[in-house]
Amino acid sequence: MKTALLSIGALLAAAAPAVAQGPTDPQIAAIVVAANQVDIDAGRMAVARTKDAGVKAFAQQMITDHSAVNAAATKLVTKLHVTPEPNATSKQLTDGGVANRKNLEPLRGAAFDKAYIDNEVAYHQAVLDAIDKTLIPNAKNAELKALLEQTRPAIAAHLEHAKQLQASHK
Amino acid sequence: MLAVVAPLAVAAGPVQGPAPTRIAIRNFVFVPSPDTVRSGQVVTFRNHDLVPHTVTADSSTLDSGTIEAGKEWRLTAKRKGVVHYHCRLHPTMHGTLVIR
Repeated sequence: MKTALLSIGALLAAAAPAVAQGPTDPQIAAIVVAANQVDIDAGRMAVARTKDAGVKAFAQQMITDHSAVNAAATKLVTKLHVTPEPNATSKQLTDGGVANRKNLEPLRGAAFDKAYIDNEVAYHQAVLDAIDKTLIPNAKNAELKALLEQTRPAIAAHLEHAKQLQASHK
Repeated sequence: MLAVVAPLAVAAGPVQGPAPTRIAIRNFVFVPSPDTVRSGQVVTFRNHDLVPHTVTADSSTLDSGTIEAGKEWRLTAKRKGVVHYHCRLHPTMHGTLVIR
């Protein structure tokens, strides 16, 4: 499980080097969509699997919020006539999400809840770092930058919420 | 302690009594908070974020229901007192409304 945690965190922390010279706007768009989809998929798995009301509510909120961010991102890139450009980072994110769900698959009960929440903490911390250090600094279009800035508080709130759950699921 | 508040489904024409006040939900923060209003004053909460929020009294005696992105919810502050509230969907979000 630790491998999964490290892999997700490492992926996002390495977002800049993965896209040489910093990502372009179309690449950032693809990274945003991939990052949100990874957490939507993990959330769906948790909603179906967990018996813990707090974990289920959190997971459902991740689905709702990350879907909303992706909808806003899709609306924006459509308006801007920007086609998201898959890149090494977006692919690594997607692959990391698959690996994470594979690691969660055999777990049940409290072990699943703990692993899911631990990963959510690591994931949101890594996304926050990537937004601050890579995505916002490299975004060229003002509206794309604004979308990233508007997304940041959501990620920060998710991180704090996940930490609260983590503290109660040790 | 929760003051009695009554949600308004729609704006009901010219507002009688104290002028309405607005509280923004922006970047996962209620602004301003704390906010002081007068009894009878209409308070509008507008969600400027990308995701839904709620305005829910800590005592659970008030709940806006889901306020979708870009939408707003209104209530009329009735009973004097202090209302501590939060977002039910995002428990890290808190606010305070003082009704005088």
